[in-house]
Amino acid sequence: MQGRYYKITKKFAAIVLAIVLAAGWVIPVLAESTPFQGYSYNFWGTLVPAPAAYVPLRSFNAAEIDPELGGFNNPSDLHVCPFGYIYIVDTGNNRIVVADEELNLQRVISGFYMDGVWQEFDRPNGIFVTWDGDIYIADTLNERIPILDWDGNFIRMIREPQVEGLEDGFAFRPLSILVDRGGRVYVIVQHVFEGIMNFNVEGEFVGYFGTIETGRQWLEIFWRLFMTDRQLQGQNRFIPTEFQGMALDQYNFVFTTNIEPWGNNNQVMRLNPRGQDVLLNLNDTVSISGDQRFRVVGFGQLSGPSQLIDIIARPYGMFTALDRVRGRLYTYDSEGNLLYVFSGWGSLEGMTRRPVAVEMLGDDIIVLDAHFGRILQFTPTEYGALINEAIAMRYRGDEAAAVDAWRRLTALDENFQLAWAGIGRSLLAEGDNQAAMYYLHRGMDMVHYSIAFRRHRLEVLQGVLPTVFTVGTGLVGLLIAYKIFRVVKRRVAEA
Amino acid sequence: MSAVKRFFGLYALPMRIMVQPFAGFYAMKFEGQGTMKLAFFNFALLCLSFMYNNQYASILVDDSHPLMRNSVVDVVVLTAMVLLFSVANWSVTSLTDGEGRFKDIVMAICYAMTPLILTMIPATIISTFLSSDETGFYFLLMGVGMFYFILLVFVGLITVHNYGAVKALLTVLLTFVAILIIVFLLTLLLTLWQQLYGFIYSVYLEITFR
Repeated sequence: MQGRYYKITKKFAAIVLAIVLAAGWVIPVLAESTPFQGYSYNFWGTLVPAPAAYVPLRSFNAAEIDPELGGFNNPSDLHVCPFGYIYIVDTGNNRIVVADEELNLQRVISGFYMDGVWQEFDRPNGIFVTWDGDIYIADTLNERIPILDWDGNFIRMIREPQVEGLEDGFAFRPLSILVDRGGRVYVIVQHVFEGIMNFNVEGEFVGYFGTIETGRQWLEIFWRLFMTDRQLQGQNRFIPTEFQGMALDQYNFVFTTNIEPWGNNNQVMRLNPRGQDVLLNLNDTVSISGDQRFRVVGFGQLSGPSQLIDIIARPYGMFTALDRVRGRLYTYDSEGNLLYVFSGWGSLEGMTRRPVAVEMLGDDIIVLDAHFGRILQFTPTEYGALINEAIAMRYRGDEAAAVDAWRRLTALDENFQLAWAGIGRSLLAEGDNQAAMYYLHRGMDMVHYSIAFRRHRLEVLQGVLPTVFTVGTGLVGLLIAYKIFRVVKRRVAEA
Repeated sequence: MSAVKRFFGLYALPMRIMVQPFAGFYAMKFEGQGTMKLAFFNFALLCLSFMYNNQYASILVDDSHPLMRNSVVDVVVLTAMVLLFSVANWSVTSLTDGEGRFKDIVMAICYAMTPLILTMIPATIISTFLSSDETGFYFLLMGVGMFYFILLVFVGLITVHNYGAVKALLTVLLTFVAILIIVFLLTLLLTLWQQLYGFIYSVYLEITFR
């Protein structure tokens, strides 16, 4: 007896060992060696882990572009012009470094001739290059926006507008610039809370663009009822937060970010040409504000809500926002679904310590890290590329073509609800309601699940009701026949 | 057959309370027709219908996370609520000339649960046939059951304590205050106990490390 048990135990141990060894072989192959964990939020706002959608491809600093450049000193903005050149605003060195995709130095803009006099920048903070090749520079401490042509020749200047309402000691310190395809200039100015300053093609001030709601604070309003004038003077003013980053999408709409103190409101706006927010978010539980679950206080800078400081508009309605607190990049689609999150805070390759700007370089995403003065380039993995592909096809209205990508996505990441819902939606369009119900339920797409359910219910009823009515009519007929039979029988008996 | 008949004979009082609340509750307390056994049975039925609703309601009327649906938690919460309300009401009404004993209060609440039981299960079954535009029927049915339950509890308290409507309303409001006090005291007790435990544990650790 003892021997048999021993034998079984040995066999079992051998099997376990084999499985462990096999797993040991498989795991390193599956695991992508990224220093960060990809994740997303599901229908209930719960965090679910996901594969990495983007992985670090390379990183480079000033010396790797050209050894004579030295290093970047507090760089503050990054821009990729329509011709594929990378512009880096090197704030601390008062210069703008231009490199191409292969990291060849194109030129260094450190000033310009205005009326024959050499003018230098003083702590520039933002740059924008139009389709015509005109270069707009936010020359912050000089309180001006010089506009240069492609060769660096001075064209004209935007200065502080002469408008009423600005305070006496007001300094026009532009931080960030955007020029739309109509030539309108949008400028985020330091300590201007009315909105983004808007200039027309001639550089004249037109008005403020976009407003940030402060929200009603009922408790505060209640307490203010009991305050004396002196107490009221001592209270903080409710001023909106400042705009942080801007990006122009393919429809000439402006994406903006602003920091919300509690992280439960959207931090991203999509402003139409009239300055109204038209950002779409179909989720009730997940707002477009980066992390939904975070440590509220404690442990230095890694706690608290995300602070989205820069944004890029991507093709097909997608956009990626950069979080200053944890260095993460959040990508959303045109319906406000969080698609993937990558990167993070740290010193490893693929992490940033003080990210300040984000841009697209072809399909890749580049991030400027001011702490190390280097630029990181991320490239999509198979997973990330599949999501981008599926979202693009859905955005074009081609749900059927997207199904293949969704199916492959479910094989890679079973928790990706959008993929299940995507398959379900196409099945619904094909008319396979019962299968659609399964997939839509898995994807928690309740709107379409309800439609599929109603159609399926109708189908079932259409199958069942004829039988029910036939049998029912037959039974009623039999009953009537029986009654007639009994009446007739009684009459016969009476007669 | 006779067992079934006897059961329905026993269950006649909860049914009667539904249609004739005042006479029914009067019979329950003053004519000695109410039994604690049946009250617990009714409460068990309510627990069962809550469990059924929790587990089988359509995703379109209840889209909570599947892991959040826990029948044990349901029963514990329901028991705690009934106990808490009964204790609070008893402590208030014994100060305000209420005639009801603790047993009567629990019995009145449990006997009043019949409409909730009778609507919850059908509503849950109906919910599985509804699309999201039609969920109003489900919520209407559930709402009616809930409203009638609250009404019956109120009538039950009036009858059991031999109160007028205004006094009953006031004692119910006071009951909620009492509930808050009880919960506060319980929390206080828990934290104090935890601190005491922590103190004893650290003393124990110190001694063992010597």
